[in-house]
Amino acid sequence: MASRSSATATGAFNQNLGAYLFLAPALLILFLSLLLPAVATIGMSLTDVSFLRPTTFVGLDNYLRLLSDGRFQQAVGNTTYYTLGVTLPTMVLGLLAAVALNRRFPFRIAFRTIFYLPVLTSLIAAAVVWVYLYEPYSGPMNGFLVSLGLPPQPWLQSPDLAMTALIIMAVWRDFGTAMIIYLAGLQDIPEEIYEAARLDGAGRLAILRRITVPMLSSVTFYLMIILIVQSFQVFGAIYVMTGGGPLGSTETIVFQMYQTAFGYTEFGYAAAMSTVLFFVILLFSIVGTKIMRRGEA
Amino acid sequence: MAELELSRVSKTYGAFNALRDVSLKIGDGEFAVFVGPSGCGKSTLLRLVAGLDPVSEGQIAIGGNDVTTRQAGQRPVAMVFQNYALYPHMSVYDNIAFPLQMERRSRQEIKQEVARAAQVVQLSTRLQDKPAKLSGGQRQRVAIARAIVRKPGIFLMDEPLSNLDAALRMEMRSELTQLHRRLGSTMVYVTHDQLEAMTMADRIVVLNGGKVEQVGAPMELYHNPANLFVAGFIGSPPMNFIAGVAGSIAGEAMLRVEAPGFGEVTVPYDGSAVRTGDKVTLGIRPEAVTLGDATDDSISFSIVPDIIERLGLHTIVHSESGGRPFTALFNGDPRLRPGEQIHVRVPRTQIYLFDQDGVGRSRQIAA
Amino acid sequence: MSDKSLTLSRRELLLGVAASSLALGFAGVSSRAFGQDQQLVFWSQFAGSKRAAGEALETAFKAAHPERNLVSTLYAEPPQLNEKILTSINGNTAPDLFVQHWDYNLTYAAGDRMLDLGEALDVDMAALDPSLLAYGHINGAQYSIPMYGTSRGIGFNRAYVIEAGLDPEAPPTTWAEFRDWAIALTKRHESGLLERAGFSMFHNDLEAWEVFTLFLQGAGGTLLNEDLSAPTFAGPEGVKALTFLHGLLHEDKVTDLGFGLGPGGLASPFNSGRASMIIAGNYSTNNALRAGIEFDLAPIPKENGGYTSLVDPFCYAVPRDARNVEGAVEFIAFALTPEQQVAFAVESKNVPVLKSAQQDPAVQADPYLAKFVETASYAPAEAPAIPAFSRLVTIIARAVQEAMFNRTSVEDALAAAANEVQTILDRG
Repeated sequence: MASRSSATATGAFNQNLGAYLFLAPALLILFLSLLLPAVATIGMSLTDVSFLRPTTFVGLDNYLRLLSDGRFQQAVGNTTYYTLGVTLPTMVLGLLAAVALNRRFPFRIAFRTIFYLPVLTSLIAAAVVWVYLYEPYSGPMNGFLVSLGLPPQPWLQSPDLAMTALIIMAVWRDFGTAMIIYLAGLQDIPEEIYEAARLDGAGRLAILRRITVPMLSSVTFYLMIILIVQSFQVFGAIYVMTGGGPLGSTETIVFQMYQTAFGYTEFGYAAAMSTVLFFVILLFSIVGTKIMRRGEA
Repeated sequence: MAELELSRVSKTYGAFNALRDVSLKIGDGEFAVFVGPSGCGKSTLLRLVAGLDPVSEGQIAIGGNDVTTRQAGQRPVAMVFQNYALYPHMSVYDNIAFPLQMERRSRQEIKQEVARAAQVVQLSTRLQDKPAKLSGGQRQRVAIARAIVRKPGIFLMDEPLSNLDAALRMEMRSELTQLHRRLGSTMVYVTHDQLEAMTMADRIVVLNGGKVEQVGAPMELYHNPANLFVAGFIGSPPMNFIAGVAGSIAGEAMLRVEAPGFGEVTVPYDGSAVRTGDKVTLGIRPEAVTLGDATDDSISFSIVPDIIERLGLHTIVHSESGGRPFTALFNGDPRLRPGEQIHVRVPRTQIYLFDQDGVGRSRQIAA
Repeated sequence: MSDKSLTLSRRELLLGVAASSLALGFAGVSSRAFGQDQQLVFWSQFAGSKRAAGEALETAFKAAHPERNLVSTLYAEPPQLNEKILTSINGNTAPDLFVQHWDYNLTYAAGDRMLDLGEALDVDMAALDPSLLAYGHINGAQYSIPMYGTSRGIGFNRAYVIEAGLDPEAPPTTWAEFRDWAIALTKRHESGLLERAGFSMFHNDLEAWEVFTLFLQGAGGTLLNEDLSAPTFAGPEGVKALTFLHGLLHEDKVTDLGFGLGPGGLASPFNSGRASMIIAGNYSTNNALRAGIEFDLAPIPKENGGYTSLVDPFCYAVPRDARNVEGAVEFIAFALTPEQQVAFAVESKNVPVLKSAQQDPAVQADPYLAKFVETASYAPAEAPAIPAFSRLVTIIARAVQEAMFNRTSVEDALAAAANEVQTILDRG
């Protein structure tokens, strides 16, 4: 029995040999560029590799060290705060903007473009501009607060505020993406469904809550994974705007990874961080997929 | 339960007049069918009644109340859409319950109402399924149940059967008729299919180009079409039209018409002003044609069958006469062969007369 | 050909793909190891304000030694060069010579990847500034040789000093006087809003470490003990220094918490006229002048008289496995000649490592450069030259800020930091 089923499997494989041969170059590139580095990273996380001194195998030492590393825990906390802080508002704002701009009114293309524009700007350029916006003494952000009669804030200079300031900028940058993706999702909802809901007595809010949002759930899920993965890996804006400070309040896992690897030449330890990050992201994706599946069932 | 009254309703989209000055009254409990070719404005009319689109001019009253400015959902109507418009992410139960949930009815009450409606449409066992798991007919029933629970004064149905296959369509037709009888509520039903209109309607509203062409009971429309459009639209196969020129009046309410290919034909007419020399049109229903030679009260002519469709109960003959197609429908299965000329006759009383504006001028036939 | 010979299981194919990936990878590595003639490959970090000086040096070397076939690559930032060097050392594609911020070189040296230039280089070490040289000395060997250094002083805005009725020609000589200056130079609105900081202490981690270290030295302390095996900054001198800075901030209010934290440049508080005094280095001059500030420099006073400073060298290093050691050594020797030292210093406004060049009339003719040469002379002859220096900076900067932000007491912050540093020193 077993040999027969394996024989059929081989037969099917051989039928597709041509296809596999066509795939081989792509597979080769995937092995080289994705799998090999990933496996190497996990391997490195079990050593004290520095690329300078002789490398020794240290088992799970790096992971044990992570458990008691206060700074890493702070970075995990910061990253989680950043990820939640970026993901949720980005999706909510993106959805609201998409719903608002899905209706026909003058200049809606202009509005869509304006909302999407931040996505197209260079991260570094945007970061430099935001540093100016957040400037505590002459920056427009505080100018705005003062004009509202509110006290000015030391946005990037305060350990309590800096991460929030980075989150605001990230939301500004990302919600255009969310909007575009939601707009595409909205196109897939037939107009008749809205009409049916209106006839069933649903108001605008009820339609949003009971019809639009649930019908966009697969889009929402996709966006959520994209945003979470992206936010977990935030680096550029922090590198430019705060350098992880003040007081490590904006140090994220990837930032610390970079610092540990290239600043302190502890590549093994950094690899352990990166492995942990990898599994956290994997976990989020799996949990998200499970929730999604259950919703569809 | 409510009656529907439209007064001088118009709808324009930019420069396009979708509906022009429609006035109409549909009685309480009536099954009214809006019928017409696509683009005639029948669906627009339904949407105006539903409140999905605002009227450009005129008033809509339901049950004696002016609802012209009321939003959709605040009118005592429920609608069944062509594509069902079920909420795909909700179970059958939630689909049916949705209108009640919007009314903030109690959980218990909703449960009862949904169960009742589900029983009416025979879906009690499928309440937990998502619409994607249902067949087309079952989805249609969910949509109907969702309409039923609202207990609307008027049911609006927008081509509800057009997505079903022929057999199912026939079945649903009778189910809808039964449902109407059972609920006793007013129904406004839109279709482009005159067969549906004829079989289901208490009253048919024929629309064309945004205008009401004729309103009446199915047999009334069949026997006394008000104009060329209605005459051609109602009945299948459609009425044959023959161009002619009015001659002199012969006897009491008879008109002589010179029709090329038919010679001089004397037909009954309603006595209104048709002057000699006017261009007129004669109408002959295919089923009015029988085999045989002329008698006193019928005319006769010959046709050469091109295509013969044998349906057992009927035989339909397509021919050409004077460059225009002519269709005849005979009972049973007469021995005919394509290309072999046959003699046929038509009773004078069954020849329709339309004046140069296409308005029917025949004598009225009691339906 | 029989059908059988064509049969191939899915596993075999995937294994084949994986194997060829590996083969390609290795082939890539080894091919890079060949195919370079006798060139002198130089990775330079002479970028920014020292770019012109670096180019002039290379041009001069090429003219003097065309046979060396110098090929240089410029890297904009030290971290960028660092990434490149770390990977290249490992991939066996390292250059013959590079110039980099000193602390990176020590890291490479700790892995025994660098050549002992003390032996390889035929240069009179005694002619070089010992306080700069100290930063290249580790494990008893001179693994990297400074080209130049930047030194630290009090940068002040002359206009503001005069406006406050102080004498710019008589800058502070003790902490007490410094404090008086800082207070006098601070300007606040009635609302308390800071208009101009008397002394803007630090704007990033590196500067937080720097200002603490300078005042630690001013109180007579050091960061590490003599053999660099234990931290000493948490002792009474460190506490005194950080308490003094804390007092300036919280009692004297000469600046605000977090004031000016950010990327700096022309928008920094000093360059935008919102700070009267900062800790300045050679690199501060050009930006301040370009921003139109009446920039001047004074030495950093110790607590009770005398001055202190820091020097911060950029150093040459040669990988131990370099293919062209001879050429690399020749380049360094060439760069250390009085002629090149003076030319580089004048062009880049940095302190030359060659003592005779420091006193050269051409160098002394530049008023700012002359002052930085002077402040450099106040730097201690010892340096915290440990491979984990960048880590030390981060830890101390964090401690300084925790105390400044009142997250913890001065004593606790320093003690905790010292503990952490000890762990790292022990790890080696």
